[in-house]
Formats: sequence, C-alpha cells, structure tokens
Amino acid sequence: MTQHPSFPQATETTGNSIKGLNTPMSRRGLLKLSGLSVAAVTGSSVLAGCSTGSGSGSGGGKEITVMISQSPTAPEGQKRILDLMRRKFEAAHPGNTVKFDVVQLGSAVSSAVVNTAATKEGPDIFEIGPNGLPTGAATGVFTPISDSEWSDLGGKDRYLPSMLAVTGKDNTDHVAIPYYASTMAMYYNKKMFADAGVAAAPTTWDDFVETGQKLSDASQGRFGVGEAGAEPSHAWHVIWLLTTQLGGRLISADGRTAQLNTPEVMQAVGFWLDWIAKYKIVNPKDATNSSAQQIQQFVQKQNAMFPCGFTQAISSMPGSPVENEWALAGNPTVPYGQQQLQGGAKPVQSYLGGATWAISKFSKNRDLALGLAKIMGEPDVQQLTWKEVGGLPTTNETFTAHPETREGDWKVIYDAAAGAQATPWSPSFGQVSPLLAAAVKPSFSELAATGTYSADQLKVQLDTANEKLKAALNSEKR
Amino acid sequence: MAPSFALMTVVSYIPLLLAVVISVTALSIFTIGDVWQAGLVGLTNYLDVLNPSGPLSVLGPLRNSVLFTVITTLVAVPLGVAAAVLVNQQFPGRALLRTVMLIPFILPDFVTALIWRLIFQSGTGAADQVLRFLGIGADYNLWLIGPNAFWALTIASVWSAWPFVYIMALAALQAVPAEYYDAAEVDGAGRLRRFWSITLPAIKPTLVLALCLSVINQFNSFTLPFVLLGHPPAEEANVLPVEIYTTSFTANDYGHASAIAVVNLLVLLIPIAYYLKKARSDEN
Repeated sequence: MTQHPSFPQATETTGNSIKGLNTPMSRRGLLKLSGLSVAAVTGSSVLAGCSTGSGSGSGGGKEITVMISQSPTAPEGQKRILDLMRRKFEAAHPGNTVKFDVVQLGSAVSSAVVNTAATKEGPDIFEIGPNGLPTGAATGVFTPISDSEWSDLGGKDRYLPSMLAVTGKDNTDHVAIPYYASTMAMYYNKKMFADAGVAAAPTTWDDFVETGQKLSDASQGRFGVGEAGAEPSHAWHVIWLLTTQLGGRLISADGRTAQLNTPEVMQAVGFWLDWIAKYKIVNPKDATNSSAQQIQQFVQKQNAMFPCGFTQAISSMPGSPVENEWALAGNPTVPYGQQQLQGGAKPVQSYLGGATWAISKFSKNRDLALGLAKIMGEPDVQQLTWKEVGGLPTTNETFTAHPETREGDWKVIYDAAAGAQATPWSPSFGQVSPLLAAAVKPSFSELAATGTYSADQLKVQLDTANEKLKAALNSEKR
Repeated sequence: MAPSFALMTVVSYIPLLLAVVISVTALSIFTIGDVWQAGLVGLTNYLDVLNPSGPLSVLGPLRNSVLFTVITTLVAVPLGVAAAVLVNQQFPGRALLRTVMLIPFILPDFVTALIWRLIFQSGTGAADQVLRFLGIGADYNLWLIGPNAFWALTIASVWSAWPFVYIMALAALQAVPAEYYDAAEVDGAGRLRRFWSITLPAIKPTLVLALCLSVINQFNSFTLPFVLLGHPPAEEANVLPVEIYTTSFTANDYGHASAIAVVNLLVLLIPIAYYLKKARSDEN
C-alpha cells in the first residue's frame, strides 16, 4: 500500500556538486560557482513554484488533474484503479476528462501543495495522507468542504466515521474526502507461537514482553520480536502509540505546546528501547533495520512477531515461507505494568494512515472534482483499491457490497481503523516524525553497539527535539 | 559581455539576491501563499541559527562540514597528486589504469552513495567483511549511524573526490617540459628532489585551484551524505547542506534555511578569498 506521507517531507533533490568541472577556472568562475551554489540551495524553494502545471480546462470540455504518489508495492494495480475511475468519470461527465498525475515520490505531492499556495495554480485534487491535511489547510490550499458539497458526495454518513474525523480539526470543517485507510497492527507467526506454548496474540504490553521472552533466547542469538529501529517514520508510530496509551500527547490538544519530553514520552521511549536493553526480546542488530528488513526477517522466520506494522506488510506474506503461518492481531492496548486500562480509558491500537483527496481552493473545476471524488467512494473502486493496493475501504456502502473487505485478517485492520485515535490537528505535526527519529537514533546506535543506552542522553535528545518542535510551533505564529 | 551578464543575472545574481532577502524574512509554509505577510525580521534568523544554545543552531552541522571538508581535502589532494605522478610515467597498462582511475569521477554522487551504502552495511557489507578477514576490530560495526557515520561519509567522499585532483594535477604535469627533468637528472637529482624542485612548483598554481575547488565541492556536498546516511542523518554526520535541506523541506522554514545558506556562502568565501589573493600574488 502506498504510505502517504505527512506534510513536511523530503523532496528528492540533486546536490550542488561541481564534479563536472575538469578545467581550471578563472576567479570570476569561482565567484559564479559560489553564487550558483547558494542559489541552488536557497533559491529552490522560490523557483520550485514554477514547476507545477494547472488543471484548467482544455479544448471543448474540461480536464481535471489529480496528483497522486505512485504505489511502491503495486504500481500496475494502481493503474487499473485509476483506469476504472477515469472510465466511470468520463461516462458520468461526457466531454470532460481526468488526468492522473502519478508522481514517483510521495513528497512531490506535499511539495506541489506548497507550490500551489505560492502560485495559486496546480492540480485540482491532491491525494495526501491524513497527517498532511493540517499543513495543507494552514497554507490555504485545502479549504472546508461545505454541507451542500457533502450532500453531493453522498453525505458524511457515507464514510467510516473515524476516517472522516481525521480530515478536519475536532471532526469539523473537514477539508478532504476519505479514500482508503491503513492502520498499525501486530504481525505474528501462529506456528512459532504454538511451538512456544503461546495460545494467542498478546493484548497487554506485559503479555507482549512475556510472550517475547518465551520466544527468545538471547544466549542462543534467538529473538522473538522484530524491530525497525532505523526506519525514519517508525519511531513516531511506536512512540505515539505508547505515549497515547499512557495518556500523554506529543503536541497538546490545542496544537500549541510541544510535549516531546514529558514523563509519558520518556516512559514510552524507555519501554520501547528496553525491548532490546532489558527484556532481550529484540536483537540489538535490529536497531539498524529498515521496515523492509524487518518484514524480510519475519517472513524468513527469524522472529515470531512485530507490532506497529503497517497494512502494506500484508502483500509480503503470500508466497513467503510464512504464507500459512502468519496472522494479524491488534497492537496491545494496555500499558506495561498495568493489567487493564485505567479509569475507562479508550483502547488505542493505531492512528489512521491511508489516503484522502483534498480539492484545491484554486481549482477552476471544483464541481467536476467533487464528481470524481464521489466516484472514488463507489464500491467497485473501493473494492479494487482494497484488492490491488491493500487499502481498507472508507465508504460504508463498500462494506455492505463487499463484506470480504473487513473479514478475516481485514477485520483486525477494520477494528483498528474504527477505533483509531486522531493525531493532533497541527500544521507542525509532520515535524514530529523526523524530530523523534533523530532523537532516538543515538540511543539505537548505542543499543546496537553495546546492548544498552543512556537514559540521561535520551532525555537530552528528547529535550532538544522538544525545543525544535517549539520553534516550529512558534514559526506558525510568526 | 551583455549576454553573459544577463545570463549570470538570471541564473545566479537574482537567486542570490532572493536568498539574502528571504533570509531576513519570516517566510515559511504558512506565509508562502502571501509572501507580503511574511514580514521582515532583520537579523533574527541569523541570530537564531548562530546561537550555540538555540534549538535552531547550526553550529554543530557547521563544525561537521568544516571537519569533513578539511579531512577529505587533506587526504584527497595528496592521493590525486600521487596518482597523477604515477600515471604521468610510461609503463604497460597505463591507459587502462588512467581509465579505471576516472570511474569514481564519472559516477554520479547518488550512485557513489549507494555503492558505499552497500559497502558499509553492518555485518554483511564489504567493509565489515574485509575487517573480519584481516582480523581487525569487531565483526559488526555501525558505519551509517552513530559516530562512525562521520568517517563513513569522509571515506566515501575521499573516494569520490581524489580523481578531480588527479585530473587537474595530471593536466598540469603534462605541461611541464621533459627537458627540466632531463637536465635535473644529468645534474644528479633523485626522484624526490625532482618532485620537490620541478614537479611541485610547476603544478602548484593548479594544485591551489584544485584545493580551493575541492573545498567548495566538499563543503557543498549534499547528495552523498543524503543518500549514504539517509534522513535524518546521525548528528555527528549532519553537514550544513543537509541542514539547509531539512530546514527548507522538512521544517518548511524558508527564512531560516536561507540564513543558513548565506552562512554557508560566507564560510565558502574564505577559500575563495584565499585563492584570489594567491592568484594575484602569483601574477605579480
């Protein structure tokens, strides 16, 4: 499944290398070079505004443009989905056409939103992850969809409530239309569990540690749990989940205060790192794993489970050595050291990832864009999306027409999505991911090298990350 | 004159001016839609990025960039000169060796980075396998995260940088009349003496130029650290161009990013000024 990025994302750029020079340069040449180098690194943000085309009408009919990032796992399947939508759109709106601008990098969509804010031109629709919506709204490119427009789309009731909730601040002023959902879940190997005498997937983090220890023998180099310590986006997924379950937040509810160094976050990160340092259920070398390596280790039976895995991992299971052994379960929901949730707290398994469609404020064809968005929610399109790229449908009519989309393993995903908690509606939330990744990197490096980590150093790193997030939140005010 | 000035204005001076202007504004993703709302902030952005204890301080990346540049250049220049001297002599297979030496120069930076990323894979990469074969150090080294990331970056950069020096030095060497060496040999000068008294003075102006360009090249290197180490990189290997990228495209804070870029330029003016002074004194 395509992992749609949160907003402030990397845009792949070329460096400003001067390796091509192989002849002596004049003094002026050197000055030109220095001028060019600073221009290359600073001017890009300004010049980038020139790069995106407009989806304005052409010829007799009108053409709308949808910018989408390419599915990394199923590009051919994605083409079939887009083709189906195109045919349906052109049948419903004769004389008008739709152009799907499929870009290779997810970050290109985020960059296009910035370009659109600067130039007032760009695609009619952006396909973007829920975490990118607050920033898009802050730039003014994404604006609330009116009640009459929701009626044209089939009503808000058409959509999975939890997915609709993440498209607007406090579940109001929704700025995008849900397309598909993805969630975090726990992947485990039923056979390895049975061999170790474990009957079911853990539901509390105490059980998780206990199960992990039954499946591990550090002295033999055997570890029950897989980890992806070097995957940049993985850190915030785990830390957000554990912190939320402890009742903490990474940014305050009003979106104004950075909270990356609170006791809850420290406890969450400490527990996570202790999977390696204290409980010995994760191989220290996994601190350098990417998500792909983590999944590869799981399908090669090098470990028996990994939590916080995304829906995209499902596509790696068919045809693998664990084809008939793997299963999905929700992430444990009860914090470590507790036997049950305190004071009626809501169990949280995941936040909601996936994709939404946001219509540009500068679209000249908003009616047509809404027409296409309505088609996007129809059961055949949603079912094909589920089948081809593994995205959980978001329209209730799809679950009725195609109940298989929320049965079996998909029931785990559906339940996690239905009960998912929204991330803070903050334009700066996208910075939480790189900041936390940078903050835990030294600890993982230490763990991989020595098997231990310094809690004091971790606190310093989280303090630094918090200061940077504060600066980002301040820049919103500037 | 006029066309070249017009071209330079468009591709260089205007972007440079824009960068300086943006660096004194609060332009960010929140104001990009209406740049006039960004407002002028004077030198605040510069004070923020140069404040040692501030959250936006770039003094760490600046130190990394300087160290990385100096070490890379100090290793790459002698390597390049030695290689040039070697292949400037006649021996069988010289043409092949000259070609092979150009490979690191020909490869795009991102390919170089991917190659070294594979080499530095912990445990399974060529670096660890060679160390294991030689019985040196641990079987499993963390090259791409933690403190070693700086050295991984430097090693990859040296590999990428020395052929540039080699090409320039070789071009200069080929312009040295063979009679100088013949005369020195007749006078009884040995290889080392001929190198110090003929070769080095002859290629010195080119070498100074190569050194300056190498410094600028390394200091501005973005693709190599970005691809080799991923993003965000280890703190120890976070260099200034990557920090500019982070501030621009992760934080979407164009005011601070431009201030860092201008600081980057000002630091680069040091080798440029040295080169210009040197060139002027040589002319005199």
